[in-house]
Amino acid sequence: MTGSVIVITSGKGGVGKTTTSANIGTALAKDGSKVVLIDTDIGLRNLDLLLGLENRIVYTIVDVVEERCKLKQALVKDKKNPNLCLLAAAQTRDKSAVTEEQLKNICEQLKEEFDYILVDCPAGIEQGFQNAVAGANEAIVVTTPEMSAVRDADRIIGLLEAKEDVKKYRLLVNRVRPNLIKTNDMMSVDDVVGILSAELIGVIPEDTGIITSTNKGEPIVNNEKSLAGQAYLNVARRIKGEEVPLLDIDQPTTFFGKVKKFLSKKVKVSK
Amino acid sequence: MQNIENIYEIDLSSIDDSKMLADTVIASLEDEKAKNTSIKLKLGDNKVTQSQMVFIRSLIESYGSKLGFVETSNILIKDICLEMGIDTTKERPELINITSESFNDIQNAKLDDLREEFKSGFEQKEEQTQINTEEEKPKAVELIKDEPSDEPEIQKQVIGVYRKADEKENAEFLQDEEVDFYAVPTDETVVIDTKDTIYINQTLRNGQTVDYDGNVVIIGDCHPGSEIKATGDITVWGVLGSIAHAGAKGNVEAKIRALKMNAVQLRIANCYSRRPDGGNIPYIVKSSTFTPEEARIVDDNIVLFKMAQN
Repeated sequence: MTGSVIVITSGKGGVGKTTTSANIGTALAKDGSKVVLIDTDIGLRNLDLLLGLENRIVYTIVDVVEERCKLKQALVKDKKNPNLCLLAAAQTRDKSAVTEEQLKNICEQLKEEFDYILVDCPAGIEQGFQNAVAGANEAIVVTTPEMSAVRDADRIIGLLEAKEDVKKYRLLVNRVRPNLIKTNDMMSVDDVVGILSAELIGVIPEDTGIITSTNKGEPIVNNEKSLAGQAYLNVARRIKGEEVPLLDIDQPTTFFGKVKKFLSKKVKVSK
Repeated sequence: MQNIENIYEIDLSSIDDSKMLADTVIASLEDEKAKNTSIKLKLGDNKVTQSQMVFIRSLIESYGSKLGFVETSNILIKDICLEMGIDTTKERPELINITSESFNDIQNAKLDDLREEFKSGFEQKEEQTQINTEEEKPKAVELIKDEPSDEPEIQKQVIGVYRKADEKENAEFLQDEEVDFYAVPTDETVVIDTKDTIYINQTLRNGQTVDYDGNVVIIGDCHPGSEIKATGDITVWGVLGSIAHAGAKGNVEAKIRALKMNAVQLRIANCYSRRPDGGNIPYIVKSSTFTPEEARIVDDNIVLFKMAQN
C-alpha cells in the first residue's frame, strides 16, 4: 500500500491548521481509511489536545527519530476510531530536533501501512515548515478571508511550487462569515481564490462549536448538526477523489432566519 | 500499375472509398507479377489508419511479398509508416506518370529542337565571324555560355518533379533570405534594444524575487510581496501588484509596463513612487478588462501613461 502524504499548512498562525488536520483526519478515518496524523509543531504541540489524546502519549516523534522507540510504539490510537493514529510532537524540545531527511523517512515508512498521512505543519516558513513539507506529495493550504492570511498563503504556495515532491496544492478557506461577505466587509471566497489562483478544496464557515469541540477534545466532524463539521466531511470526500459540490454555508442560525429562508424558497418555487 | 524490376506498384490514389482499399490491394496481389516483390503502395490523398495499415501489410505478407514503400501526401500517414518501419518516399506523382517511352520522346523532341537552335546559332556565329572577327568573339563566348544554361532546362522538363521539389526548397530558402533582407536597416528601422531579456513564464508569488541584468518579461501576475529588479525594462503580462525597479543601475530611459498596474512601489533608476493611500482596494480585484499602462521618467518624476491604441 502506498498512501498519500498531505501536508496541512498556512504560513500564518491561528487560521486553523491544527483544527483542520484533526477534523479531516477524523473524517477520513470515519470513512474507513487508515489515517495517521503527524504533529510537526515540536515545542508547541496542540493536535493531541484537539483529539483528546494528551494523556495517552508515551513516545513522541523525537523519540522515534532518536531511536528510543520503534515507530509503531509511538503511534497513539484514537479513542473512538481505531483507523486513526497520532504521532505526537515533543513538547520539551524545539524544531531543530528533527531534520527533513528524518521526517521524510518516517513518512516513507508510514506510507506502507496507512492510506493517508496528514502532516500538521507549524506556522512560519522556517525549519518546522521545511521539515513538514519534506515528505509530502500533496498540500492543503489553509487561509482565512483576511489580507494577512492570504498574503502568507501566497508566500507558502510560492514555496510549495518550488518543491518537486509536492505535486498538488489546494486551498481551504476557513472561518468564512457569509453575513460579512454580504455586507462587503469580508473578502469573498471567490476573491481569495482569484488572488491566489489556486484550486479550491473546501470552504469552512465560522462556527462557535469549534471552540467547545477544541476544549472538549472532540473533533467537530463527530457533531452531525454542525455546519463546519459537514464542510470538513465534504473536504475529506474531496480528498478521496469524490466530486462534492460546495456546501451552502449561508444557512440561518436563528429560528426566524430559518422561517425566512424557508418562505423565500417557497416563493422562488411558486414563481 | 507497373512492374519495375522487383518493385510492384499498387495505385490506390484514384480510389475514394476507404472500404474499397483492401479489395483493390487483394485484387492487385492476385497478379502473378506481384508475388515475391517489394510492394510500392501509392496512397495519394487517401487517409489510412494505423490498424488499416497493419492489415494491408499483413495482407501483402500473406501473398509472399513485402511492403517496401508507401507514397502519401498525408503527413500523419507518413508518421504511421515511420513507426511501422516502412519507407515513405516524397510524393513525385508526375515522375511516375511519365512512362519510359514518353520520357524518351520528350527528351528526343527537346534535344532535336535544341540541336536546330544550336545549328542556326553556330551558323549565325560563323557568318558574323566572317564579317568582323574582333567584335564577334565575345558573342561566341556568350553563345557557348548559353549552352549549359539550356541543357538543365531539358532536365527541368523531363524530370520535372525533381526540379519542382528543388524549386520549392529554394523558395522556402529564399523566403528566409527575404526576411533577412527586410532586416537590413532603413530609415524607418526601429532601434532594437540590445540588452538581454529574460522571460519568466509563471506567477511571481509573495517572497519571490527576480534580479536580472537586462530586461525582464513576466508572463503572469506579480503578487504583492514579490520584487522585480532589472537593469533594463520590466514588462508584466498580467497584474503588477509588487515592487518593480527598472533601470536599477541608473538607466533613466528604463520603463515599466503592465496590463494592470497595481504596484506597491515603482522605482526607475533613482526615482521612486508609491501607490496612492486610501485606494480602498486592499487587494487586487481581478477583472476581465485591462488598461495597459507604462511608467517612465518625465522631469525626474515617474509618470504613468495609458498604452491604449490611439
